[in-house]
Amino acid sequence: MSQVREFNPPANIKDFPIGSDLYKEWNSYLTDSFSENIASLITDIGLQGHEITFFDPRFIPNGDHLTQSVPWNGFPKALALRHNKPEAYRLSDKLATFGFKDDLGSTRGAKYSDMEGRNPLLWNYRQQDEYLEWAIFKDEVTGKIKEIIFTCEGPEYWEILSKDPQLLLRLYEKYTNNSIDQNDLYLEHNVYEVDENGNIVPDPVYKKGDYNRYNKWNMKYAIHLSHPSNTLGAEINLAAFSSVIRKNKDDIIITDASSLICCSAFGSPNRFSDPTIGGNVNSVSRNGNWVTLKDPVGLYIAEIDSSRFTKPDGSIISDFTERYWNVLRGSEDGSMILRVSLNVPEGETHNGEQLLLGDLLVNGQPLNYGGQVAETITMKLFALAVTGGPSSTPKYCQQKCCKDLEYPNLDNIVDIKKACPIINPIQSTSNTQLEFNMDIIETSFKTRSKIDSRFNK
Amino acid sequence: MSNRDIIEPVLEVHEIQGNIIPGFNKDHLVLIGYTVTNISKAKQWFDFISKHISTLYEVYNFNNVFKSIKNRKRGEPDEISSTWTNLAISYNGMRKLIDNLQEIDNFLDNSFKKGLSFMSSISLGDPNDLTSPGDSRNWVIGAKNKRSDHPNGLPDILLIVASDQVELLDKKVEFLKEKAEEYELINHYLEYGHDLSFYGDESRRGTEHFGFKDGISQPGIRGRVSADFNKFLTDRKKDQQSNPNIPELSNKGRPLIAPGEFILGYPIQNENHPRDAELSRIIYPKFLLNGSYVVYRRLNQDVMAFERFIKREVEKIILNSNLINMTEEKFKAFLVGRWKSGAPLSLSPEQDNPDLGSNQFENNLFDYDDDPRGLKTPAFSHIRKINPRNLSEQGGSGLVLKKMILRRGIPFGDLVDPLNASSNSKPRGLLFLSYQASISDKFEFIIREWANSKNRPHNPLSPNGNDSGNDFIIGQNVSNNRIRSGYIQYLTNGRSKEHEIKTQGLDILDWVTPTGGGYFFCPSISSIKLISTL
Repeated sequence: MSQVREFNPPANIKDFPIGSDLYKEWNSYLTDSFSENIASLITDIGLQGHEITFFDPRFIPNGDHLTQSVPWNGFPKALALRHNKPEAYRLSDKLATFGFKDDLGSTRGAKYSDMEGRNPLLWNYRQQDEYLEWAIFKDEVTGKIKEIIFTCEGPEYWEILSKDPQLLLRLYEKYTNNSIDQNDLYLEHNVYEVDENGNIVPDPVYKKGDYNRYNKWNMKYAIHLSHPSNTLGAEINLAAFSSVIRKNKDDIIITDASSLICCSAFGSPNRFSDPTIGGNVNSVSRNGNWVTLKDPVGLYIAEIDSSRFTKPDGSIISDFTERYWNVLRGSEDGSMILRVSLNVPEGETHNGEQLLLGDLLVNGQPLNYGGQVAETITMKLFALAVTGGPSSTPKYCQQKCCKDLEYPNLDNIVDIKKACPIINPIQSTSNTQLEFNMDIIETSFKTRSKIDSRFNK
Repeated sequence: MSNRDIIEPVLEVHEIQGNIIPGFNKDHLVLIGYTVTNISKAKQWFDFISKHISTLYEVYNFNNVFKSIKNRKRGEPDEISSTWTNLAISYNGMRKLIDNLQEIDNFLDNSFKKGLSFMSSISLGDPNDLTSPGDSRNWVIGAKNKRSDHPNGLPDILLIVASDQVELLDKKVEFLKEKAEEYELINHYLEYGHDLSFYGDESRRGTEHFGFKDGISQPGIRGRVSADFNKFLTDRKKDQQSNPNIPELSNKGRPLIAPGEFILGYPIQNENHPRDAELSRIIYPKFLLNGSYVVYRRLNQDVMAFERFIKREVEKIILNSNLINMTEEKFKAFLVGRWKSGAPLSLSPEQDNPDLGSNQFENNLFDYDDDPRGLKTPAFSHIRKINPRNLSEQGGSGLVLKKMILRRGIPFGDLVDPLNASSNSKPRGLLFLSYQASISDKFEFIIREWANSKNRPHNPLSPNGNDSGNDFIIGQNVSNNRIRSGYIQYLTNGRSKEHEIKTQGLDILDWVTPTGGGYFFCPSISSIKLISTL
């Protein structure tokens, strides 16, 4: 081991000083996440300790250090696979509600209520599951979009910030430009799950005084990620489990990203992000390297493709990134963006009127939805590889993918022993079967995000 | 419909134009642009021309006979030759000729409707500078804001005529010219392309102007040419893995892809399962069935600017890195991903291997799985940028197959004389032609998201986590003052090093410059006839 150090906050952001209580909390959270995942590789996958290529980035093994920036597109692929493009754009801006089926095809969480079911809580999340979420702001007069704020900050970091209510409030007020009641950010009562029969489950899922991830200010201003899969815990879990070298039943090493995610179930095969990240991490691992996520661990906005935006008459916008793309949170060198606002500067006119974002064209089409912009954004994370990794016995798959009955371009992960439903391309699909497959995805999700559950219970 | 009809549908071989599939593949080609002036006469011309359009059936069968003779003689056959004609229409042409266009308008590709000159700097990164010939306002054909009857405007109709013999081609052009006059079509564009062997150097057969063998990697297309159970359009490789998670290969090592990715109305490639196909979710109107979108891009190549860049960078590499044995040939191969002969760096990393380069059964049998760092084939290499093969990108390797296009380009202009600098100023380059079922999802995606992007499709492992860099051959970069860059990764005494390649400081930053082109639709034979009645 060549280095011993501590974890830095995402993008080395300086919300709290090094050595402070929050800093220690952050380190404790990541330390636990890495160690729990490494332990799971032994208990859940059956690797021997000396075979594990995934490591805690505070303790870098000796060898040649290499970094890989892994890019993916920010638009939810699952929406694009389920709907035609205009519809997918429209739905991507729509909020989903816990306990109800969303437009990505999943039912997240449960229906919630406060004590004794007096008030059903319709909690929302953004159905944007590529680790990039956004909030749109429209001009009151014209109804056109005037600003879009993008975030890629994991909720766990904000959970830690919530331990300092003053700091949390200050940051919320800064990024919403509003005066906020602290009570808006914390739960005023216990929250209970409502089961399928409408009965309250006795143990609260959230307790009075807990930070409320889905508070109205986060939902309105995209302070941090809200989709249940968009967590740092999921990122670490994904990296850990995708480091496992896999083989198929014919003992052939699996190298393609789609098969790997089906085999290991480290995320959703229907995303841009998860198979891409997993495929890259696995490639590093099976090519004989140690692998981990590079400190500062985080998910980042890499860039926007400015060339795709034009003025209403199709003319090019000069200095788009410099003038329209305003980074609000991120690293000082600009390489790791956490929060960014896209808007047209005040005073920039077209035909004598203030130009709005909604007046622009993206790829020649009117900018009507945030999703159109998300599609021009590249996300990234950084994997760290160190040469001279251990050799590892490839493991057989525990899961596999079956094509979705209704949307054959979507894959559902099922247990390796289960038979895939037979798809007849002409006959209509069975809804019962479809629901069954969705349940499996949910189960898989719950398994992989157990690290994250500390904030839900 | 059986599963076989989805995976291997019977292709309507008498309906599909022959340059889409299997491709004319001739030594001589001409592009003829027409503008419609008299609509009713033009419609009559469609009835006339429909009888002259070469079909998949004809070209496929001719190619088989040609190949058979070639194999027997082990040389170019002179026994048979043919002259083929295909037709494509621009969106503007459709608007003129089809009265009820609104009935199919929603099914048309958005980029096709916007046009290449409009999408040029938005989606393709082309120059946006009126002093540059690459700015679409300055193009020689298909120029932005020029009417279709302007000599530099986008023609309403594009004829693609190709022949084995230049005399036959000229004869056909003369015939078509007379007919166009008869039907009052304005012929305002005529551009010839020739295989470079035409200029007297047989060693340049199949190469482009920078000297590289071109058109090696093409997708194989699934489907049957008759209802016979095994009468496949594309021959299959015999000894290949049965693993359903990797693409099935043609006998030339090309991944087999569902025909709906190229021709409208056929089953499309499954997103995740490379050997599966699905019925398209879009039910196209009959007019569009068996049709395909054609991208025509006239790309000028400045051979000497390219050579100057090579020379400068090689000197810098030798001076500033430990790659002291770098040669111009090796560096060029780094930029392309293949040696001049076509031998891939992936299979022959140290030196060119002409036998491998010319072996069509071997020169495509590789991927990048053993080279995540780009030590053999740099991540910025042209062929790795525009076809990342098995690398995980955007959700898996299945997506890569869905981005493939059918390339049918041919060089234009004569060979540059390295001893005569003034010869470099003559126009030469590539008449790039590609066929695909969607321009925005395929051609534009490849250029925008891969070739022009500095970090996609895939970044290598590197000492500093640098991006893959831009494609130095066809990449454009409108957003960074047209500067392109990338890193060569290498090992010294087992330690990883990198060396930056950058186009900064050159007097000419682009050696491939778009100077014209357009987006067209290539209808079925029935639809061409139908236009005469609409």
